Amino acid sequence: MTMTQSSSTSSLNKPKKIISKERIAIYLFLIICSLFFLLPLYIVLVTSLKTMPEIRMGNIMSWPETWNTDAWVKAWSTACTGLQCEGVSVGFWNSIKILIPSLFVSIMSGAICGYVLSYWRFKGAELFFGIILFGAFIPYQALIYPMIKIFATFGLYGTLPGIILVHTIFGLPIMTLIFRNYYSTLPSEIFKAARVDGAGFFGVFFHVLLPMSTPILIVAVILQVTGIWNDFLLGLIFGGRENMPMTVQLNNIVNSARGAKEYNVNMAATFLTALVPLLVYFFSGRWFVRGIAAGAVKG
Amino acid sequence: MQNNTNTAHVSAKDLSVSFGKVDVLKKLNLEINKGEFLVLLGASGCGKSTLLNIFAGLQEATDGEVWIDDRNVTYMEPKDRGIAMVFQSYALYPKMTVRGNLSFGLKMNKTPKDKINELVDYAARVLQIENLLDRKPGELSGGQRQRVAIGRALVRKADVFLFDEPLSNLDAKLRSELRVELKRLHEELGATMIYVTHDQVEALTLADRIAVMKAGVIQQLGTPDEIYKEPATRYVAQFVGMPSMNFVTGKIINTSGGTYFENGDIKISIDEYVSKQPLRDGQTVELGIRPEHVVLDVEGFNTFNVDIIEKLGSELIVWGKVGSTSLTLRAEPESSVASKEIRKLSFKSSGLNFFDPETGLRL
Ligand SMILES: Nc1ncnc2c1ncn2[C@@H]1O[C@H](COP(=O)(O)OP(=O)(O)OP(=O)(O)O)[C@@H](O)[C@H]1O
Ligand SMILES: [Mg+2]
Repeated sequence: MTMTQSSSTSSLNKPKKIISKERIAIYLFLIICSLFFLLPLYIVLVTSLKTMPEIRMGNIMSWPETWNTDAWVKAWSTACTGLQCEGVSVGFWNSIKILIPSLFVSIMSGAICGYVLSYWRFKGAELFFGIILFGAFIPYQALIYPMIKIFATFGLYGTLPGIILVHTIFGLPIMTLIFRNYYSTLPSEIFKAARVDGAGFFGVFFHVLLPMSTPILIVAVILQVTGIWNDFLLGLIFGGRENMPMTVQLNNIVNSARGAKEYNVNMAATFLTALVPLLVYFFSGRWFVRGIAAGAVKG
Repeated sequence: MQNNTNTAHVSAKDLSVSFGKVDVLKKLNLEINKGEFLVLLGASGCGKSTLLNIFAGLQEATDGEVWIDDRNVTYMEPKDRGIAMVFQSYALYPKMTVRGNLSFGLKMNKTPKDKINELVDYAARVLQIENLLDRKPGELSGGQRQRVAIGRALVRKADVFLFDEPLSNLDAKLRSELRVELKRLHEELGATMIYVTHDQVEALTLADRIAVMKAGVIQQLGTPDEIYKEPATRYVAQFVGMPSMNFVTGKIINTSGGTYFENGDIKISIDEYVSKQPLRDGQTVELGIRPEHVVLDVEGFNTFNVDIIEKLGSELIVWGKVGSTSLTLRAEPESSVASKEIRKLSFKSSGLNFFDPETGLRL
């Protein structure tokens, strides 16, 4: 009795949803935008599931007659990149090999730089920060040649540690920026308390600050995973033959001169390559927004 | 713990701090005795926190030294100074439980596990936070958080405790409760405590001695009684006391019949006032007199136009004027004074203070 009563009153009190013209316009606009961005993805997906004869019929928008995953298998394991015919799988594992350590090293160094800049203010810290930020605006092209020379001198050119170092260096400005901004929003008294409690430079960082950094760590991971995974130029130049990342491998498959163009295989390979950043966005979009808000540019 | 005899003498020697062109502390000297409860009192921005941070080793002085007992600790790390600190914003580690917060410092200096538990349990018992040990700071009220923050200082078994406005974020009732508890804690521990506040009630109730600061300089160092009864400067006089002291500018008049203070509206005999230097005839001075030393008195010589009356329960605060001179006075709650009344009043000669209007120094 009471139940029904309360539910009926609550439904009575509920404000009527008013769908105004403005709302409809906004939704319409958003739908059109998403269609615009989803269309290429749709084409990649359906083409990868078609057979070559079907593709040759020329209707790229049409739904595949039968779902055919042969192209996916071929793209993953037997498609040819020049002389080797091992698909993009080699590139996938190379990219993982580059990604994991680069991710760890670049985020940690960025976090520590940000930590130093917001808590261990030394003489010239502002200038130092300015220089790091300036680094973010120098075009890659201007740096590549001198970096090749330097890396070659130290025997790092074309090696895995080399490409990891390159990603760390290029990621450092933005990583430092977001961590510095995040740490400057935390109350400095926590830092002081930890110092009085006897925590040293790394003690404060690992015991106190890092556990408080989850939101900004998520932002950093998303930025770096997508950045490093999507990288083509640096991997091509600094990775060496052994460590060609997936993007480079994809390019080699697509541009492979031999035989007729296998659009379905190319599309499947493209999709496979895009899968990692896609999944990252898909599962962390909400966190990303939250983290960006938490580390909002300040100070 | 019962056998705690940790305590130390602290001294600041010619401490100066500047940020660029701004001098925050100016050649400050301060000796704090073993086991003393010293309160640094001053308005916002006068450099109290800066001084405390320098004692703690969290900030570097531009010049000068800090000594704890016979050690020059000026360049020593905070953890090596034998200090503990409680902050205004509690500054608890948000991702650790209360137990984690209390034991963090002990873990850092590699105290054995059972000793840590013993100390944490002791602090939790003293501060009555035993039932909160497994909670995170986010799940505590403001008062509970501040207790944890005090507990975190307590387990360190420091010689010197530094408090930076620890109660200012709490409501009035909690503040007075914790104030009493801090006082008791000090008596039990016997440790030296340096306590920053801009709340004069806290200062007067807690302190063995108060150092009143203004713009990086200590204006007066003395017991609460001395600060209240014999303020060394006009600034100290108006800063301490609620409601504030009355100030009246006037002249000294020396006659064969005695010495008087006069400003056109009031004339007070000041023969009983013990001045540091002789008051000259015709000298312009500023009279300071607390509201409790201005009394309604049917035999008084001054005609007082009552303006407003504030009823505070235990007393009345009466605002009004003698001629064009504004005065505030304290009265008994049962006294029959009403607003817009005309009364007579007199001044208690024991409550007179005179200041130099130029320098602000006590005469
Ligand atoms: N890092 C800094 N750079 C420049 N000026 C500073 C810095 N830190 C403090 N100051 C200045 O030093 C002065 C004293 O600061 P301090 O924090 O010691 O004041 P306080 O007496 O503790 O005030 P409050 O009661 O508001 O806490 C202030 O005027 C402040 O503006
Ligand atoms: Mg302060």
